Amino acid sequence: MGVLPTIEEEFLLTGKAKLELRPIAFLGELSGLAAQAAECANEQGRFWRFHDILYANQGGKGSDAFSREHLQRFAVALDLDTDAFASCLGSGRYASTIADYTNAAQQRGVDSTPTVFVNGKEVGASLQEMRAAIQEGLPPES
Amino acid sequence: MAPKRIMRRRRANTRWWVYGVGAAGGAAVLALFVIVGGLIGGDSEDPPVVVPVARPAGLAQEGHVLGSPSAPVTITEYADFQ
Repeated sequence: MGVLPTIEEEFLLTGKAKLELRPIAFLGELSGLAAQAAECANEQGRFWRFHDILYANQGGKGSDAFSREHLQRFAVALDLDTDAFASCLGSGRYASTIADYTNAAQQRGVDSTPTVFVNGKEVGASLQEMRAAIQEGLPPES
Repeated sequence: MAPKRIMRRRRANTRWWVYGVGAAGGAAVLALFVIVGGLIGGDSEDPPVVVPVARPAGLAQEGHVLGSPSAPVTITEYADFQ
């Protein structure tokens, strides 16, 4: 089982923790486009479904897995309003949002991804480190 | 002289028969390429989209936040999708 599913099961589903994801773009134009696409999916209340489909169809740095054509195919697969999605992505209206997230992350010392903070403190992204940090952040009765 | 004429006609007929078979064979090979090309190439060049299983309905999802907004611990993840 991966890190996120385990964290979800142990801490998110039990109401002990919440996860806030900040999409940033370090790896080039298509990573920025994928992050914008997630924001466009968020307009339709499907940020996390789009997050999941992006990870499920990753091609790695330099691949075209997140080209506009493929992002549009993901929107179709998730049964989004594809016209609205295409219009949103084509407008580039979230480009500055992603740039702002990326700049803010860099100012916070983030220079690689994933980088994880628990209650504001940077921790390693391994399951063991995250689990320990979350448990440390829980109130005593939890 | 007459037998020679007959021989020439037979050669000409044989040549047309060979050309006919050759053309038919060529057409068959071409058709095979078109059919196989259609099966292998075309729309199937794009890999199928993997659609992950949906999360449990009991897990709150609001914008970029997954989990209860009142949860005591906040995990913030910076992620590059690529």
